[in-house]
Amino acid sequence: MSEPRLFGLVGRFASADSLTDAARQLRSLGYREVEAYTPYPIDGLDEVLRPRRRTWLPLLMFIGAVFGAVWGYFIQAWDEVLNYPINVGGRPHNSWPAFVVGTFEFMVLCAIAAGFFGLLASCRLPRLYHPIFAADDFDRASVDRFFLCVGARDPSFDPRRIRRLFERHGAERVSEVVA
Amino acid sequence: MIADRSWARLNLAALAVLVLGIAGCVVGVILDAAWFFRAWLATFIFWLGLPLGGLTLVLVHDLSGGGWMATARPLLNAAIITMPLATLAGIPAFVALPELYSWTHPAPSLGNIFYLNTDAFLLRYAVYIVLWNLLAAFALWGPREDAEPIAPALSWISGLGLVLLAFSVSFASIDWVMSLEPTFWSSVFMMTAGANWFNTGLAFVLLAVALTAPISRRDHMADLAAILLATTIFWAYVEFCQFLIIWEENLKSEIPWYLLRITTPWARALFISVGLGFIIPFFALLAQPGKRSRAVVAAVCALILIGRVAQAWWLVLPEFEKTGPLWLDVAAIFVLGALVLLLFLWAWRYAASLTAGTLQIRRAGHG
Repeated sequence: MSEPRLFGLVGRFASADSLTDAARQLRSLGYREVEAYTPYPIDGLDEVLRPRRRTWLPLLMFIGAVFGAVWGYFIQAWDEVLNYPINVGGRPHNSWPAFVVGTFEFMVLCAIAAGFFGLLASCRLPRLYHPIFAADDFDRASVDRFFLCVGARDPSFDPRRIRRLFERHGAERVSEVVA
Repeated sequence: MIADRSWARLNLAALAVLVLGIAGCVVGVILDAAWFFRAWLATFIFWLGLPLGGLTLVLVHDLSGGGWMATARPLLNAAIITMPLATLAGIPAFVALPELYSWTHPAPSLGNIFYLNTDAFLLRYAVYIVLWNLLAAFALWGPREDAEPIAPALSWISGLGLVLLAFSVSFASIDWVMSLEPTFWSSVFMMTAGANWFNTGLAFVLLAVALTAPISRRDHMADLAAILLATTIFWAYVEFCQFLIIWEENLKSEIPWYLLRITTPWARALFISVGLGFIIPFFALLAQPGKRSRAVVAAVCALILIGRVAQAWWLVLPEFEKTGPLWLDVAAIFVLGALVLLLFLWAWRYAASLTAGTLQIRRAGHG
């Protein structure tokens, strides 16, 4: 029987500060596959885990907005100029002031849809199972405990060294999680 | 803070501009006195934005708070100190009301002369001056610590002040700008005027922040740039609302106001106002790197100020049949602008040395 593959080593902390300190030291030792699971957002933790990381979500939303604006204007202009031209009070068929409102609405709709689905995708949803769920007491990550995980994929992954580091920073419990 | 040498240079430049502007205005009065009053009305309306915008931001901050005030406070104070000058600057235009407003010699059919008559106009002008300068004094000398808002016990004055400011600014914009055409009416107009003034004030203050703030204050500059982005969007929104409604109605009582301004060469002023005051700032400040770049923020603020000048001209000047020389418009902007800038620079340095002094005392107590 083969040894089960390891997902990572998880440390359970009682406070956000000790978790942040442990994460900072892991990063400074060169670990890259470090992820935190906490009951609430911790100020500054993002900067520690992923320094200067740029997310692609704003760009995606901008592209969605541009697409929505072009599409929104096009369907109005196409309908009024080409498909079914009606003379409304002698105004030109391509009456851009009247189209601006609809264009704006389409822009907002597409930008928000891009943001919504982009966020789901960046959270890897819909995904029903994740190995971290198997960590001991992991349900307390949404109640009162702070979990820090170093992935086994990390090139410098060394369970004993990481375990000692976790314990030095006051981890209540350190457990191995299988993939 | 500002270095001694650049401060002196700026003062010298302002004085040079002042002399140039005064020369232009004197020649202008001799050649075309009527046009001078119109040009001066535009410059009065433009520069009033500096103290009004600063005052609004301080009162809003009293209620909302925000760390950016640590950087903005000395500059906002310097902006608000120009309130007496900027409010009284209407007098050179208003001495010649008949040259500006046709309701001073109304047609018999004009129904609203109970509001639009010389006595009521001057009385309201006096009320605005008193009210705004009282609020300015409260914004300058109310008990506030550094970046902190006013003490909670007094915040009701800030709230009430904002309400009074909203109403008085609305009526002022009706009196000074909208009544140039006494039969024209648009209920969004007051919001466009308020947004114009606020953008002028914030762009001026943020320009000074971008040019002088140290790198440690970069976050504050980005916050102020985000506020400016929001208010330029608001301005474009209300300005477009007014245009869309009047364009769709196409009523004989309203559309001539726009025809005067978009089917004549004055349309260029509108393009400058919208291009420099909304389109370029919108895309430049949309992404975070733009808001955090001193060069981008300074350039955007300068463009917005140019756009606001064009907007003031676009609102006031097309109303008159015979157009005067452009250099006179520019000279009027220069004269009041140089006076405002000199006062602003003086107050800024005074406030800066005051803060530096307390810092030194604190440090001395420390070490």
